Amino acid sequence: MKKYFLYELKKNAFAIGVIAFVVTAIYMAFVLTTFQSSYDINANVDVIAFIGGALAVCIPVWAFAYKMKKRSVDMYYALPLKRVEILAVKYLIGLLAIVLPFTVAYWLGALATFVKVSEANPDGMGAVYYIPYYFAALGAMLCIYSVSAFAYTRANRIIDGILFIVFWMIALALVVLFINRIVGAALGYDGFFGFVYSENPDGYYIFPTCFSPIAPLDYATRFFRAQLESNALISSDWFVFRNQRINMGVGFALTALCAVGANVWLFLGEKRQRAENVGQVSESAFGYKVMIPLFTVCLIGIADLIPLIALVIVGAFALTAVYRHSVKIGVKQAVVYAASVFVGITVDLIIRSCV
Amino acid sequence: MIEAKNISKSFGKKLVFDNADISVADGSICGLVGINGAGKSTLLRIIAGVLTADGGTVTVDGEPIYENKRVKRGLMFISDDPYFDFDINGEKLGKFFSVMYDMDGKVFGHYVEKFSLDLKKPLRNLSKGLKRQIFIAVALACRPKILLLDEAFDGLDPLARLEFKRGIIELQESGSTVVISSHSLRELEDICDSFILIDRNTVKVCGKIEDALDNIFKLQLVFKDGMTKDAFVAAMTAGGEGVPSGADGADAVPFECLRFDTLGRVVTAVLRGDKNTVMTKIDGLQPIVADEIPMDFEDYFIEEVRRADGEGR
Amino acid sequence: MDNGKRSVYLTIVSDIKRQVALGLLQNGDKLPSCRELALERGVNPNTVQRAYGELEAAGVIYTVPKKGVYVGGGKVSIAALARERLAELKSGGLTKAELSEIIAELYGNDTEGTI
Repeated sequence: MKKYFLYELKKNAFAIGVIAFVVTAIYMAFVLTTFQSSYDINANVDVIAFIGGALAVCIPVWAFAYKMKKRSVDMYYALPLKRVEILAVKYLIGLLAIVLPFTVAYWLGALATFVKVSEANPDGMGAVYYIPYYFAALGAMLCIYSVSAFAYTRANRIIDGILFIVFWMIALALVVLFINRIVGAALGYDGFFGFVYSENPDGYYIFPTCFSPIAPLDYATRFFRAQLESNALISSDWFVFRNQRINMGVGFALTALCAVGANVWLFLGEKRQRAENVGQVSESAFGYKVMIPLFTVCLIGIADLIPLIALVIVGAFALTAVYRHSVKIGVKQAVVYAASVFVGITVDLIIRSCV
Repeated sequence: MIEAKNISKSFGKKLVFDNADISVADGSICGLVGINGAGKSTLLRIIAGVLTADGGTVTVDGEPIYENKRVKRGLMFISDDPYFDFDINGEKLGKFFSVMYDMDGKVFGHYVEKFSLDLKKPLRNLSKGLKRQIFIAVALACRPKILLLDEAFDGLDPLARLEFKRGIIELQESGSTVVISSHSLRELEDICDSFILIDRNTVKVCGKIEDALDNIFKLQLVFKDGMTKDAFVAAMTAGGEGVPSGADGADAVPFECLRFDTLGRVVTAVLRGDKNTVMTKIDGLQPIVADEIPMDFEDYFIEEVRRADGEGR
Repeated sequence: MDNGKRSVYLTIVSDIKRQVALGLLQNGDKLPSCRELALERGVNPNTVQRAYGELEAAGVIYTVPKKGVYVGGGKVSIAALARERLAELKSGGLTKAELSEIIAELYGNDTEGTI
């Protein structure tokens, strides 16, 4: 297995180098062209955070592509390696393809920023915060990578896998949003996020964005950006409200839990993955089976506007067609589809009657 | 020895095998035959440890194959359309397999030269036959104890086929077992000593080619007063199960009439049984003409599968 | 070579018989070993072994242990070969009249002659 890892490392060194180069070039372009003031220039951590997040979401698609084609499965699974060993090697290579390019871009960008800022404004920057932010961002990216890798490998085709990643990046936040709307309606508000929030800043409102696997990276970036800009430990306005901190705590803990669970399940469940399924309909409970009805109900519930609801209904059908590999979705799926649309609309009508 | 006992396999509702048994002796070159969709690839993928059988056991020297590194280190599978990464060329492919198996670079070089392969060209730009040749060179160089080849001769030119067959023979001489699936039965007949015939969701025959060919023969017969199948079989077996061999008719030799086509007075019959006994008996029926038409493996295959067709309806 | 409708081992047997009959192989000539012939033709060595076994039983060849396989006995005559081939052709529908015609064509009017 070690031999195989070294082989993969050598084989992918060039690709990882290219990713590092491209990512660094993009980040440096932002850093070098930004106006030279300490305030502006640290806005670039948004860019590196976006790059890091994008890598963590996209790299699994590449790293685990070997599981998605019958031809490649025939090759890999006949090799004198346990499946979990192949998975581990691919997982590590994927991780390196995220960490290495991110690290190179991050520190080169930090260095350039530091040089530029100290020329313009010698004491306007808390450069030391680049160090904790680096680790915080990496940790947050690891969470995204874990969840993405897990969601992707539940699928039997690349397109399904990509959709599963999208589902998982949104699902929890969507559910929270849906609950918000219901609770909001129950309390007599016309349940719109901003509205409820501004009316009751310290009230019952739960921030949905805390519950996405992307949230830790997002919040860490906001937090450290504030530190970098002011050169002193402050709370940005995102951290003002007490219940927001609770939200964050719960949301991040949930994400961390998801990440740990995803990794454990990914490796322990590898034994039960069947080569027979490759290229077939993705029947995993972590995929379409649960996600389409969930998204249908939640999205109809929060869409509010009739055209948006119509769009969701059409979209749900399109997804079902992708799921079944055919527009003839079959009786069972048609029932599931009709039921979720019905539930969604019923909920929507109840909400409307409340507010 | 590769052994599969009582294996069954379905994909969803589609049954591929039921109750299939195979056994391939060490050092044997075994041809895997069957009509399209019979399940040849599925069987190879099960032996290769890619798929699991739903029921039954598949073992190499008594050890199960699935997820068994020790067995798989000596086992290599080249599928009908082998996978390779986008940027891979012959050289990189060799490197990859040398990480996985105990590959002999010299042997690889030997076959690269024999096939005049360009190792620098990406595999995706090569024709099907050339791709296959590279994979064959790699497989032969890895000297696996068990080599599984799906659609082995597909796309190979006659020279490459010959070279490939020579390579397989050399591999077998070093003690390896080779299982080859193919539709070119002529090639299989050349190179194989045993075969597995898959038909009707099961392994129908698993044995030596020479035994199969020795006990089946095709005759052109003309009888003076014509002949029907029932009358012929009745006359041959004297009403019993087989052909009576001794003078007293005590020891019946197994006999089967696989085909009995009449065109005018000319009968084309395909029979199974001990040739001498059967011929002696036929002579006793005093046909005007009794000529043997030679049969090769392909004819044998057609007769076996056709017979099943007849039974099926 | 043969018409391809014969098992591999029978092809080898008849090839060698013909070569011996035609004098291409003479008594005492060494034949390729099983392995050599197998590799040359790309056929299974066991098949060659079987063919050699049959030839040996027919007295066409003999094996000297550890040295090789040699042509010997020379029991295959051209006449026997011709008989064998003609028997095949006869079963294929060749009539006596046709055969006579061919013989006349090949040998001319010379009753004792060679080509």
